[in-house]
Amino acid sequence: MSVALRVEDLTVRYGPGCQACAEPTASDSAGALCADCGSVHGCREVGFEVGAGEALGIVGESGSGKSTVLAALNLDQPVSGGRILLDGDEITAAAGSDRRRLRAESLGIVYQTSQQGLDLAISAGGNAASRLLAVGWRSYERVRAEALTHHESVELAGERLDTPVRAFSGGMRQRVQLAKALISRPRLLLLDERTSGLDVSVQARILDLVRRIRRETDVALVIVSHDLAVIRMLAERVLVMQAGRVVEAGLTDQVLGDPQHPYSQLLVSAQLT
Amino acid sequence: MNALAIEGLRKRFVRHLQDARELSVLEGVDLELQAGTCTVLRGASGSGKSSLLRCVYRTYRPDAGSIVLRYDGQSIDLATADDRAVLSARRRLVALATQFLQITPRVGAVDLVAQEGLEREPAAELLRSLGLADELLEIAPATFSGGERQIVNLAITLARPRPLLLLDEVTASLDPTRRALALRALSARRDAGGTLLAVFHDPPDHPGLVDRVLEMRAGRLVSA
Amino acid sequence: MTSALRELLDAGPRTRSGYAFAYMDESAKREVRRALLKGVCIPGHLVPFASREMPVARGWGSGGLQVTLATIVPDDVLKVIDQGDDQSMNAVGLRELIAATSGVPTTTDARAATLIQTRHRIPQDDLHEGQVLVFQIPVSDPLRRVSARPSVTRRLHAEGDYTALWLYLYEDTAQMGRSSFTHSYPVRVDDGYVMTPSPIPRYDVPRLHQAPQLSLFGAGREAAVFAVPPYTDVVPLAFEDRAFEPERFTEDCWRCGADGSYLDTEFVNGLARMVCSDTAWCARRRAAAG
Repeated sequence: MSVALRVEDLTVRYGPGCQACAEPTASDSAGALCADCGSVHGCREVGFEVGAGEALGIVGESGSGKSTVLAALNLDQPVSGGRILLDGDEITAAAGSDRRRLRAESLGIVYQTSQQGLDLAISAGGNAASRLLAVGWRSYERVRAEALTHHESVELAGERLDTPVRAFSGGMRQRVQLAKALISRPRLLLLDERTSGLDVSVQARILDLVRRIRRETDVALVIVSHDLAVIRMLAERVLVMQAGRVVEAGLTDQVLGDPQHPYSQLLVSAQLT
Repeated sequence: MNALAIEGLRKRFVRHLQDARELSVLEGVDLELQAGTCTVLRGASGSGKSSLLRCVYRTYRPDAGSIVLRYDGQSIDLATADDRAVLSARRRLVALATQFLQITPRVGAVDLVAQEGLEREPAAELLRSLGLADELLEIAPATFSGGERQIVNLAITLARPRPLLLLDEVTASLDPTRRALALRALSARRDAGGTLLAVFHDPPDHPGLVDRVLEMRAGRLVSA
Repeated sequence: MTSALRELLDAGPRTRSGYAFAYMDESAKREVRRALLKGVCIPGHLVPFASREMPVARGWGSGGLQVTLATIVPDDVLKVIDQGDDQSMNAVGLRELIAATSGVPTTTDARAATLIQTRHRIPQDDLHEGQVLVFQIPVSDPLRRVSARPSVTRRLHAEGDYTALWLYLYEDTAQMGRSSFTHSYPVRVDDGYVMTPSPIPRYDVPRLHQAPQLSLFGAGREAAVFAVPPYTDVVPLAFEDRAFEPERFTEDCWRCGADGSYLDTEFVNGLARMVCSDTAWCARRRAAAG
């Protein structure tokens, strides 16, 4: 098993920082905001590994830092400290065409809202195709064939390949995002599962697709969710985040069945799992 | 050849939501199991039976002690192994079956079993041999009764030839016929060299299945 | 035409006192030339310049005009066309302004001209070495649809990121079987930058490839110039399995009978006729036929 993703001491800070908040033992109860300098830490000293074919969940309430971590992994968010390594190569400060190539090839993301991840005016096939076009595919037939394959693999009808995404329902748009993320056969798939407004059966379909993808490929998966039942179903390991820090990490059934940290216990007791 | 050696196992919970109150569930358990045996744990509710199984499976993180699993000339201390080693052990070496089936939406019973590494026909055959009706094979278990879910659970547990099976009330909702089928399947696994550690509310009446009965009280084994 | 300009024209053919040669002052011309030189050195790259107020409004060729005025020398022979026509109102106005302020002779014969300013067409005659072709450009950046902000598009050009253009091509092909670019078809210059060739029709796009003339492009409102030196590769963006297709006409020119020239629709006595877009070329053919 090879380590696909390694994150070391990942820190995202908005603001100048100061002696007080630079202190690594700054109290959890202080939260993410530094009283001295007003800096806010999106996340601090976050570290974890995900191997090829493995899945890691990240849970925590709003403001815990899970979105920041996901954004940093997708190179959407500049990082103040720490490193992100993909297959051993550091990608933390990738810029320009390197960053574009990583995002078009090695990374795949399904955002919380479809507007973030898709161009609604463009067809479903076009949205997926854009990632291939971005890395130099120049045969229309091959691009289209690949788009169709992935479109159908997420159970979208082939006849709708050329339909603009704005005509699709929320659940269908999620699946278009999934097809788009997977078309480049990424090393790392980032899934922000917190899509509100999807009814349960629609959500179930997407989760089932993700499970199938895990069985059929060795993509490494990082999934952010509010829902512990989803994490239990999709990820065998989980991080619990609070105020920007990882407060507990371990096997999913262990963190949910035997939470050690007070915040983990609070989170687990508040939800049906 | 002892397949499982537990020594000095302790587990307590610290309930931070209740002023960090401590609840001790295992006070020091020593236990050795031989391969090809079935050991039954008995005791009142809260005596630590399920906690013991969960510690072995690493759903609970032990506070002290060792849990050494030996197989094929190798050994692993599950109490201190890292997450990946535990996941690997769960795939190949040890299974935990409870009364409750984790519901995966949309996936039919046969596919749930097949995902453990079987072809569909052997998976279907396994479910049938445990008494699942043919018409339920392709259905997702969300609508199944408790007993039907338990059959699926057992089939998932038995699908791979793992040497150590941890069983927590796996026949509780089964009617007598299906209980007999389940016990027969477990017995066959034991005969093939598997090691079984099981909690049964009612002592299983399958002849020759149970090699040893152990009593638990207040987090300890009182007879060995 | 204003009275001031009328006086200028009535006064005679050489430069007027109070006006620089070719209307623009020397420092202004120098700045435009520097920008053009930079453009020639970096084919297809957009070079900003300080676009002056011109006697034509923005949107009427002020950019092309500044390029012509900065480039023209007394020895030049000037031709000005608009959609292939020397006699359209705009072509006439521009030609008379340039001629009046420079004294340079004019012609309608593309073979004899040394400097040709054009809007939306390349002359039907094949041009030769030593000629300069100045294009009037409304929108200078082929990535304008992606973003109106130059800071965004400059970065995309710098990184060679033309994904958006390929995506438009894909969408068009998927929806309509072909590209929707009827004009301003994006082209890759010297295997580097992608530029817009101005709103010339697809018919004219292949004629830029390895052309012997110097092509200069001026956008007045957007304050940018760019250039394609002689004998430079100019290749339209196309999928390798969807060849670029210029327009094909099923009719011959109603006036001169030419087949294969670029045709416009003209109404003659209330009837629509397909005639050569290049009026001077067409007239020459008719004259030769007798």
